[in-house]
Amino acid sequence: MRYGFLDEDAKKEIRRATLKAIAIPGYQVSFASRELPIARGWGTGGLQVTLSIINEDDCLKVIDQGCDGSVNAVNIRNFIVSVTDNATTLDTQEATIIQSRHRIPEEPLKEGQTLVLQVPYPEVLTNVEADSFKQKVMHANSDYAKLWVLLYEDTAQFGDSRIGHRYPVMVHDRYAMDPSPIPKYDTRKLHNNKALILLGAGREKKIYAIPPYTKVEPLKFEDRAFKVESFENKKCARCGASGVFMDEVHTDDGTVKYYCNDTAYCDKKLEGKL
Amino acid sequence: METLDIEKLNRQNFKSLSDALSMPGKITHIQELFSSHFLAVANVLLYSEVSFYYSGDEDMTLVEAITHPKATTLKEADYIFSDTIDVVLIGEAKKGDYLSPDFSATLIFKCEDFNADRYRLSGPGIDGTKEISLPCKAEFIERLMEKNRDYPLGIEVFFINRCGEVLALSRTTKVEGLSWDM
Repeated sequence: MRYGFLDEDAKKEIRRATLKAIAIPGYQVSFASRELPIARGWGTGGLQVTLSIINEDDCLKVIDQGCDGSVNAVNIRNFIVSVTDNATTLDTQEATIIQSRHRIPEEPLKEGQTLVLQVPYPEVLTNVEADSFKQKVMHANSDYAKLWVLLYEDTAQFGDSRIGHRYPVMVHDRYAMDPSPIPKYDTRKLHNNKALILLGAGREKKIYAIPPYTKVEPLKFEDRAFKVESFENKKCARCGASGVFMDEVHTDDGTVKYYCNDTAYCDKKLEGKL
Repeated sequence: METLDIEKLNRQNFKSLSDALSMPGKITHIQELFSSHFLAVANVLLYSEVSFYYSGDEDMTLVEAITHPKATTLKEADYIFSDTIDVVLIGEAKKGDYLSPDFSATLIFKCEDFNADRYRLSGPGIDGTKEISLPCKAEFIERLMEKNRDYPLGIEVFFINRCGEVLALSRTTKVEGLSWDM
Protein backbone atom coordinates (compact mmCIF):
# COMPACT_ATOMS: atom_id res chain seq x y z
CA MET A 1 0.00 0.00 0.00
CA ARG A 2 1.27 3.46 -0.90
CA TYR A 3 1.93 5.67 2.11
CA GLY A 4 -1.10 7.88 2.62
CA PHE A 5 -3.28 5.93 0.16
CA LEU A 6 -3.53 8.72 -2.43
CA ASP A 7 -1.22 8.76 -5.44
CA GLU A 8 1.51 11.40 -5.50
CA ASP A 9 -0.15 13.61 -8.13
CA ALA A 10 -3.38 13.66 -6.12
CA LYS A 11 -1.45 14.68 -3.03
CA LYS A 12 0.39 17.39 -4.94
CA GLU A 13 -2.86 18.83 -6.22
CA ILE A 14 -4.32 18.87 -2.70
CA ARG A 15 -1.09 20.35 -1.35
CA ARG A 16 -1.22 23.11 -3.95
CA ALA A 17 -4.83 23.86 -2.96
CA THR A 18 -3.76 23.82 0.69
CA LEU A 19 -0.92 26.29 0.14
CA LYS A 20 -3.22 28.63 -1.80
CA ALA A 21 -5.84 28.30 0.94
CA ILE A 22 -3.23 29.27 3.54
CA ALA A 23 -2.22 32.27 1.42
CA ILE A 24 -5.84 33.46 1.04
CA PRO A 25 -7.46 32.82 4.45
CA GLY A 26 -11.14 31.92 4.21
CA TYR A 27 -11.15 31.59 0.42
CA GLN A 28 -12.44 28.25 -0.89
CA VAL A 29 -9.95 26.61 -3.24
CA SER A 30 -11.40 23.97 -5.56
CA PHE A 31 -9.74 20.58 -5.80
CA ALA A 32 -10.43 17.29 -7.54
CA SER A 33 -11.85 15.28 -4.67
CA ARG A 34 -10.74 11.66 -5.05
CA GLU A 35 -12.61 8.43 -4.45
CA LEU A 36 -11.86 6.94 -1.05
CA PRO A 37 -12.98 3.74 0.69
CA ILE A 38 -15.61 5.78 2.55
CA ALA A 39 -18.55 7.61 1.04
CA ARG A 40 -18.46 11.34 0.31
CA GLY A 41 -20.08 13.27 3.09
CA TRP A 42 -18.47 11.08 5.74
CA GLY A 43 -15.30 13.08 6.19
CA THR A 44 -13.57 12.54 2.86
CA GLY A 45 -12.53 16.19 2.59
CA GLY A 46 -10.79 16.18 5.93
CA LEU A 47 -9.40 12.74 5.21
CA GLN A 48 -7.86 13.81 1.90
CA VAL A 49 -6.29 16.85 3.52
CA THR A 50 -4.87 14.71 6.33
CA LEU A 51 -3.54 12.06 3.94
CA SER A 52 -1.83 14.77 1.88
CA ILE A 53 -0.11 16.57 4.73
CA ILE A 54 0.77 13.69 7.06
CA ASN A 55 4.34 12.38 7.23
CA GLU A 56 6.19 9.79 9.28
CA ASP A 57 6.92 12.22 12.14
CA ASP A 58 3.27 13.07 12.80
CA CYS A 59 1.18 11.90 15.71
CA LEU A 60 -2.50 11.69 14.81
CA LYS A 61 -5.65 12.32 16.79
CA VAL A 62 -9.12 11.86 15.30
CA ILE A 63 -12.31 13.02 17.01
CA ASP A 64 -15.94 13.10 16.04
CA GLN A 65 -18.19 15.53 17.93
CA GLY A 66 -15.61 15.69 20.70
CA CYS A 67 -15.21 11.94 21.08
CA ASP A 68 -12.14 9.87 20.17
CA GLY A 69 -14.15 6.68 20.52
CA SER A 70 -17.13 7.27 18.25
CA VAL A 71 -17.59 5.01 15.25
CA ASN A 72 -16.60 7.55 12.61
CA ALA A 73 -13.51 8.68 14.52
CA VAL A 74 -12.36 5.10 15.12
CA ASN A 75 -12.89 4.10 11.49
CA ILE A 76 -11.11 7.14 10.08
CA ARG A 77 -8.24 6.71 12.55
CA ASN A 78 -7.92 3.02 11.73
CA PHE A 79 -7.94 3.74 8.02
CA ILE A 80 -5.24 6.41 8.26
CA VAL A 81 -3.08 4.16 10.43
CA SER A 82 -3.56 1.26 8.00
CA VAL A 83 -2.12 3.37 5.16
CA THR A 84 0.57 5.24 7.11
CA ASP A 85 1.47 3.20 10.19
CA ASN A 86 1.67 6.50 12.07
CA ALA A 87 1.46 6.92 15.83
CA THR A 88 -1.89 8.00 17.26
CA THR A 89 -2.93 9.63 20.48
CA LEU A 90 -6.01 10.70 22.40
CA ASP A 91 -4.11 13.57 24.01
CA THR A 92 -4.72 16.92 22.31
CA GLN A 93 -1.32 18.24 23.41
CA GLU A 94 0.60 15.27 21.99
CA ALA A 95 -1.01 15.34 18.56
CA THR A 96 0.58 17.13 15.61
CA ILE A 97 -2.45 16.58 13.36
CA ILE A 98 -5.97 16.57 14.76
CA GLN A 99 -8.75 15.61 12.39
CA SER A 100 -12.11 16.59 13.78
CA ARG A 101 -15.79 16.70 12.96
CA HIS A 102 -17.92 19.38 14.60
CA ARG A 103 -15.60 20.35 17.49
CA ILE A 104 -12.40 22.17 18.29
CA PRO A 105 -10.71 20.43 21.24
CA GLU A 106 -11.22 21.91 24.68
CA GLU A 107 -7.50 22.21 25.43
CA PRO A 108 -5.90 25.17 23.62
CA LEU A 109 -3.98 24.24 20.49
CA LYS A 110 -0.37 25.29 20.03
CA GLU A 111 2.02 26.36 17.29
CA GLY A 112 3.07 23.51 15.04
CA GLN A 113 -0.23 21.69 15.35
CA THR A 114 -2.67 21.35 12.46
CA LEU A 115 -6.39 21.03 13.01
CA VAL A 116 -8.19 19.46 10.06
CA LEU A 117 -11.94 20.06 10.13
CA GLN A 118 -14.37 17.98 8.10
CA VAL A 119 -16.85 20.20 6.28
CA PRO A 120 -20.22 19.12 4.91
CA TYR A 121 -21.28 22.50 3.47
CA PRO A 122 -18.36 24.83 2.78
CA GLU A 123 -20.39 27.62 1.17
CA VAL A 124 -21.50 30.14 3.75
CA LEU A 125 -23.82 31.82 1.23
CA THR A 126 -25.87 28.69 0.44
CA ASN A 127 -28.78 29.72 2.63
CA VAL A 128 -29.10 33.14 1.02
CA GLU A 129 -28.01 32.46 -2.58
CA ALA A 130 -28.55 29.13 -4.34
CA ASP A 131 -26.63 29.87 -7.55
CA SER A 132 -23.01 28.79 -7.11
CA PHE A 133 -21.63 31.22 -9.71
CA LYS A 134 -23.45 34.11 -8.05
CA GLN A 135 -21.97 32.95 -4.74
CA LYS A 136 -18.51 33.16 -6.28
CA VAL A 137 -19.21 36.65 -7.61
CA MET A 138 -20.45 37.72 -4.18
CA HIS A 139 -17.21 36.46 -2.61
CA ALA A 140 -15.21 38.22 -5.33
CA ASN A 141 -16.93 41.51 -4.49
CA SER A 142 -16.94 40.80 -0.76
CA ASP A 143 -20.69 41.38 -1.08
CA TYR A 144 -22.27 39.83 1.99
CA ALA A 145 -25.36 42.05 2.09
CA LYS A 146 -27.70 39.04 1.93
CA LEU A 147 -26.04 37.50 4.98
CA TRP A 148 -26.46 40.77 6.84
CA VAL A 149 -30.12 40.94 5.81
CA LEU A 150 -30.66 37.41 7.14
CA LEU A 151 -28.98 38.40 10.37
CA TYR A 152 -31.09 41.57 10.55
CA GLU A 153 -34.35 39.70 9.94
CA ASP A 154 -33.51 37.19 12.66
CA THR A 155 -32.55 39.95 15.07
CA ALA A 156 -35.68 41.97 14.32
CA GLN A 157 -37.99 38.98 14.67
CA PHE A 158 -36.32 36.91 17.36
CA GLY A 159 -33.89 39.25 19.07
CA ASP A 160 -30.82 37.31 17.88
CA SER A 161 -29.61 35.11 15.06
CA ARG A 162 -31.27 31.71 14.91
CA ILE A 163 -28.05 30.09 13.67
CA GLY A 164 -26.99 27.59 16.30
CA HIS A 165 -23.91 26.08 14.70
CA ARG A 166 -21.97 26.74 11.47
CA TYR A 167 -22.10 30.38 12.54
CA PRO A 168 -20.71 32.56 9.69
CA VAL A 169 -17.39 34.22 10.38
CA MET A 170 -15.39 36.93 8.65
CA VAL A 171 -11.76 35.95 8.08
CA HIS A 172 -8.99 38.56 7.87
CA ASP A 173 -11.67 41.21 7.22
CA ARG A 174 -12.21 39.86 3.71
CA TYR A 175 -13.98 36.52 3.27
CA ALA A 176 -17.16 35.32 4.94
CA MET A 177 -16.58 31.69 5.78
CA ASP A 178 -18.46 28.64 6.98
CA PRO A 179 -16.44 27.33 9.94
CA SER A 180 -17.95 23.82 9.59
CA PRO A 181 -20.71 22.74 12.00
CA ILE A 182 -18.85 23.63 15.17
CA PRO A 183 -20.95 25.07 18.01
CA LYS A 184 -20.90 28.83 18.60
CA TYR A 185 -18.91 28.00 21.73
CA ASP A 186 -16.01 26.96 19.46
CA THR A 187 -16.35 29.87 17.03
CA ARG A 188 -14.36 32.12 19.35
CA LYS A 189 -11.45 29.66 19.31
CA LEU A 190 -10.88 30.33 15.61
CA HIS A 191 -9.69 33.86 16.32
CA ASN A 192 -5.92 34.09 16.68
CA ASN A 193 -5.64 30.36 17.16
CA LYS A 194 -2.00 29.25 17.38
CA ALA A 195 -2.57 26.19 15.22
CA LEU A 196 -3.02 26.01 11.46
CA ILE A 197 -6.67 25.19 10.71
CA LEU A 198 -7.44 23.42 7.44
CA LEU A 199 -11.00 22.75 6.33
CA GLY A 200 -11.80 20.11 3.74
CA ALA A 201 -15.10 19.40 1.99
CA GLY A 202 -14.84 16.21 -0.06
CA ARG A 203 -18.34 16.14 -1.54
CA GLU A 204 -18.20 19.84 -2.43
CA LYS A 205 -14.52 19.62 -3.52
CA LYS A 206 -13.28 22.63 -1.55
CA ILE A 207 -10.35 23.30 0.75
CA TYR A 208 -9.93 26.44 2.81
CA ALA A 209 -7.78 27.51 5.71
CA ILE A 210 -7.14 29.77 8.64
CA PRO A 211 -3.43 30.30 9.29
CA PRO A 212 -2.26 30.74 12.89
CA TYR A 213 -2.84 34.17 14.45
CA THR A 214 -5.53 35.22 11.98
CA LYS A 215 -8.38 37.57 12.74
CA VAL A 216 -11.65 35.62 12.68
CA GLU A 217 -14.83 37.30 13.85
CA PRO A 218 -18.40 36.05 13.93
CA LEU A 219 -20.74 38.07 11.72
CA LYS A 220 -22.77 40.21 14.09
CA PHE A 221 -24.06 43.72 14.55
CA GLU A 222 -21.92 46.06 16.62
CA ASP A 223 -24.63 46.57 19.22
CA ARG A 224 -25.34 42.86 19.66
CA ALA A 225 -23.15 40.60 21.72
CA PHE A 226 -22.16 37.28 20.23
CA LYS A 227 -23.90 34.80 22.48
CA VAL A 228 -22.58 31.27 22.80
CA GLU A 229 -24.05 28.15 24.36
CA SER A 230 -24.12 28.62 28.10
CA PHE A 231 -23.42 25.92 30.66
CA GLU A 232 -23.46 28.24 33.63
CA ASN A 233 -23.62 26.46 36.99
CA LYS A 234 -23.32 23.10 35.25
CA LYS A 235 -20.71 20.52 36.19
CA CYS A 236 -19.64 17.39 34.38
CA ALA A 237 -21.24 14.43 36.17
CA ARG A 238 -18.11 12.39 35.46
CA CYS A 239 -15.08 14.61 36.09
CA GLY A 240 -16.63 17.65 37.74
CA ALA A 241 -15.35 20.11 35.13
CA SER A 242 -17.20 23.37 34.58
CA GLY A 243 -16.91 26.10 31.96
CA VAL A 244 -16.55 23.64 29.09
CA PHE A 245 -18.84 22.57 26.26
CA MET A 246 -21.16 19.87 27.56
CA ASP A 247 -23.54 17.19 26.40
CA GLU A 248 -26.96 17.23 28.03
CA VAL A 249 -28.14 13.71 28.85
CA HIS A 250 -31.73 12.96 29.91
CA THR A 251 -31.76 9.85 32.06
CA ASP A 252 -34.54 7.27 32.46
CA ASP A 253 -35.53 8.64 35.86
CA GLY A 254 -36.19 12.05 34.35
CA THR A 255 -33.11 13.82 35.65
CA VAL A 256 -30.73 15.74 33.43
CA LYS A 257 -27.00 15.20 33.61
CA TYR A 258 -24.18 17.06 31.93
CA TYR A 259 -20.94 15.55 30.62
CA CYS A 260 -17.87 17.07 28.96
CA ASN A 261 -18.36 16.81 25.21
CA ASP A 262 -14.57 16.49 24.74
CA THR A 263 -13.97 13.00 26.11
CA ALA A 264 -10.16 13.27 26.05
CA TYR A 265 -10.41 16.43 28.15
CA CYS A 266 -12.80 14.66 30.53
CA ASP A 267 -10.42 11.69 30.89
CA LYS A 268 -7.47 13.98 31.58
CA LYS A 269 -9.45 15.92 34.13
CA LEU A 270 -10.49 12.69 35.83
CA GLU A 271 -6.86 11.56 35.97
CA GLY A 272 -5.87 14.85 37.55
CA LYS A 273 -3.69 15.88 34.61
CA LEU A 274 -5.48 19.19 34.13
CA MET B 1 22.82 0.61 -4.05
CA GLU B 2 21.37 3.50 -2.07
CA THR B 3 17.69 4.03 -2.78
CA LEU B 4 15.88 7.33 -2.63
CA ASP B 5 12.25 7.61 -1.49
CA ILE B 6 11.23 10.77 -3.33
CA GLU B 7 7.64 10.69 -2.08
CA LYS B 8 8.85 10.56 1.53
CA LEU B 9 11.15 13.48 0.81
CA ASN B 10 8.22 15.38 -0.72
CA ARG B 11 6.11 14.76 2.39
CA GLN B 12 8.75 16.15 4.69
CA ASN B 13 9.64 19.07 2.43
CA PHE B 14 5.98 19.97 1.93
CA LYS B 15 5.65 20.21 5.69
CA SER B 16 8.55 22.71 5.69
CA LEU B 17 6.95 24.79 2.93
CA SER B 18 3.54 24.69 4.58
CA ASP B 19 5.01 25.74 7.95
CA ALA B 20 6.95 28.56 6.29
CA LEU B 21 3.91 29.93 4.45
CA SER B 22 1.46 29.58 7.33
CA MET B 23 3.85 31.46 9.63
CA PRO B 24 5.61 34.02 7.40
CA GLY B 25 9.11 34.78 8.61
CA LYS B 26 9.54 31.39 10.26
CA ILE B 27 12.63 29.56 9.03
CA THR B 28 12.19 25.89 8.16
CA HIS B 29 14.50 23.36 6.54
CA ILE B 30 14.44 21.62 3.19
CA GLN B 31 16.16 18.30 2.52
CA GLU B 32 18.17 18.00 -0.66
CA LEU B 33 17.11 16.15 -3.78
CA PHE B 34 19.80 15.45 -6.40
CA SER B 35 22.20 17.49 -4.24
CA SER B 36 20.00 20.58 -4.50
CA HIS B 37 17.56 22.19 -2.09
CA PHE B 38 16.14 24.17 -4.98
CA LEU B 39 15.30 21.04 -6.98
CA ALA B 40 13.82 19.46 -3.87
CA VAL B 41 11.33 22.35 -3.61
CA ALA B 42 10.57 22.14 -7.33
CA ASN B 43 9.87 18.43 -6.91
CA VAL B 44 7.36 19.12 -4.12
CA LEU B 45 5.44 21.78 -6.02
CA LEU B 46 5.47 20.62 -9.63
CA TYR B 47 3.12 18.05 -11.12
CA SER B 48 1.39 17.42 -14.41
CA GLU B 49 -1.38 20.01 -14.00
CA VAL B 50 0.78 23.04 -13.21
CA SER B 51 3.11 25.18 -15.26
CA PHE B 52 6.45 26.70 -14.40
CA TYR B 53 9.06 29.13 -15.62
CA TYR B 54 12.75 28.77 -14.91
CA SER B 55 15.75 30.37 -16.46
CA GLY B 56 18.85 29.46 -14.47
CA ASP B 57 21.72 27.11 -13.93
CA GLU B 58 20.05 24.20 -12.13
CA ASP B 59 19.48 21.10 -14.20
CA MET B 60 15.71 20.55 -14.06
CA THR B 61 15.79 17.59 -16.47
CA LEU B 62 15.27 14.89 -13.85
CA VAL B 63 12.64 16.82 -11.90
CA GLU B 64 10.75 17.52 -15.12
CA ALA B 65 10.94 13.84 -16.06
CA ILE B 66 9.52 12.85 -12.66
CA THR B 67 6.82 15.49 -12.33
CA HIS B 68 5.76 16.30 -15.95
CA PRO B 69 4.90 19.98 -15.49
CA LYS B 70 4.37 22.32 -18.41
CA ALA B 71 7.14 24.81 -19.12
CA THR B 72 5.60 28.14 -20.01
CA THR B 73 6.14 31.88 -20.18
CA LEU B 74 6.82 34.08 -17.19
CA LYS B 75 3.38 35.68 -17.36
CA GLU B 76 1.49 32.40 -17.39
CA ALA B 77 3.53 30.31 -14.97
CA ASP B 78 2.02 28.89 -11.78
CA TYR B 79 5.51 28.57 -10.32
CA ILE B 80 8.43 30.85 -11.12
CA PHE B 81 11.87 29.69 -10.08
CA SER B 82 14.88 31.95 -10.08
CA ASP B 83 18.56 31.66 -9.16
CA THR B 84 18.63 35.33 -8.20
CA ILE B 85 16.27 37.70 -6.45
CA ASP B 86 15.08 39.45 -9.55
CA VAL B 87 12.58 42.25 -9.02
CA VAL B 88 11.44 42.07 -12.65
CA LEU B 89 9.84 38.68 -12.01
CA ILE B 90 7.41 40.18 -9.51
CA GLY B 91 6.03 42.58 -12.08
CA GLU B 92 5.47 39.84 -14.64
CA ALA B 93 3.97 37.16 -12.37
CA LYS B 94 0.22 36.55 -12.60
CA LYS B 95 -1.74 37.57 -9.53
CA GLY B 96 -5.13 35.94 -10.19
CA ASP B 97 -8.47 37.72 -10.48
CA TYR B 98 -11.19 38.47 -7.96
CA LEU B 99 -13.19 35.38 -8.90
CA SER B 100 -10.17 33.09 -8.67
CA PRO B 101 -7.33 34.71 -6.75
CA ASP B 102 -5.73 31.26 -6.41
CA PHE B 103 -4.91 31.29 -10.12
CA SER B 104 -1.79 33.21 -9.26
CA ALA B 105 1.94 32.59 -9.27
CA THR B 106 4.24 31.43 -6.51
CA LEU B 107 7.82 32.66 -6.77
CA ILE B 108 10.77 30.66 -5.48
CA PHE B 109 14.08 32.51 -5.16
CA LYS B 110 17.47 31.07 -4.43
CA CYS B 111 19.75 33.18 -2.23
CA GLU B 112 23.05 32.90 -0.36
CA ASP B 113 21.63 33.67 3.08
CA PHE B 114 18.84 35.70 4.67
CA ASN B 115 21.07 38.47 5.95
CA ALA B 116 20.35 41.61 3.99
CA ASP B 117 18.04 44.29 5.35
CA ARG B 118 15.88 44.15 8.48
CA TYR B 119 12.12 44.16 8.18
CA ARG B 120 9.04 44.07 10.36
CA LEU B 121 6.37 41.60 9.31
CA SER B 122 2.71 41.55 10.31
CA GLY B 123 -0.44 39.82 9.14
CA PRO B 124 -1.95 36.33 9.35
CA GLY B 125 0.50 33.73 10.64
CA ILE B 126 2.36 36.27 12.73
CA ASP B 127 1.74 36.84 16.42
CA GLY B 128 1.54 40.64 16.37
CA THR B 129 4.71 41.66 14.57
CA LYS B 130 7.98 39.92 13.82
CA GLU B 131 11.35 41.50 13.02
CA ILE B 132 13.61 39.50 10.74
CA SER B 133 16.30 39.79 8.08
CA LEU B 134 15.27 39.12 4.52
CA PRO B 135 17.62 38.50 1.60
CA CYS B 136 16.16 41.33 -0.49
CA LYS B 137 16.51 45.05 -0.86
CA ALA B 138 14.00 47.86 -0.53
CA GLU B 139 13.06 47.95 -4.20
CA PHE B 140 12.05 44.28 -4.14
CA ILE B 141 9.83 44.71 -1.09
CA GLU B 142 8.26 47.87 -2.53
CA ARG B 143 7.37 45.98 -5.71
CA LEU B 144 6.06 43.02 -3.74
CA MET B 145 3.85 45.23 -1.58
CA GLU B 146 2.60 46.96 -4.72
CA LYS B 147 1.83 43.57 -6.31
CA ASN B 148 -0.06 42.40 -3.23
CA ARG B 149 -1.83 45.70 -2.60
CA ASP B 150 -5.20 44.62 -4.02
CA TYR B 151 -5.75 41.63 -1.74
CA PRO B 152 -6.93 38.91 -2.39
CA LEU B 153 -4.97 39.33 -5.63
CA GLY B 154 -1.29 38.68 -5.20
CA ILE B 155 1.62 36.28 -5.10
CA GLU B 156 3.52 34.20 -2.58
CA VAL B 157 7.28 34.26 -2.30
CA PHE B 158 9.66 31.62 -0.97
CA PHE B 159 13.38 32.22 -0.35
CA ILE B 160 15.76 29.25 -0.12
CA ASN B 161 19.29 29.82 1.08
CA ARG B 162 22.46 27.81 0.50
CA CYS B 163 21.99 25.85 3.74
CA GLY B 164 18.53 24.65 2.72
CA GLU B 165 16.66 27.04 4.97
CA VAL B 166 13.42 28.40 3.63
CA LEU B 167 11.21 31.32 4.60
CA ALA B 168 8.12 32.67 2.95
CA LEU B 169 6.09 35.83 2.53
CA SER B 170 2.39 35.35 1.95
CA ARG B 171 0.26 37.81 -0.01
CA THR B 172 -1.30 38.81 3.32
CA THR B 173 2.08 39.64 4.86
CA LYS B 174 2.73 43.32 5.42
CA VAL B 175 6.45 44.09 5.24
CA GLU B 176 7.97 47.30 6.59
CA GLY B 177 11.64 48.21 6.31
CA LEU B 178 13.53 48.86 9.52
CA SER B 179 16.77 50.02 7.92
CA TRP B 180 15.26 52.29 5.31
CA ASP B 181 12.21 54.47 4.80
CA MET B 182 9.50 53.08 2.54
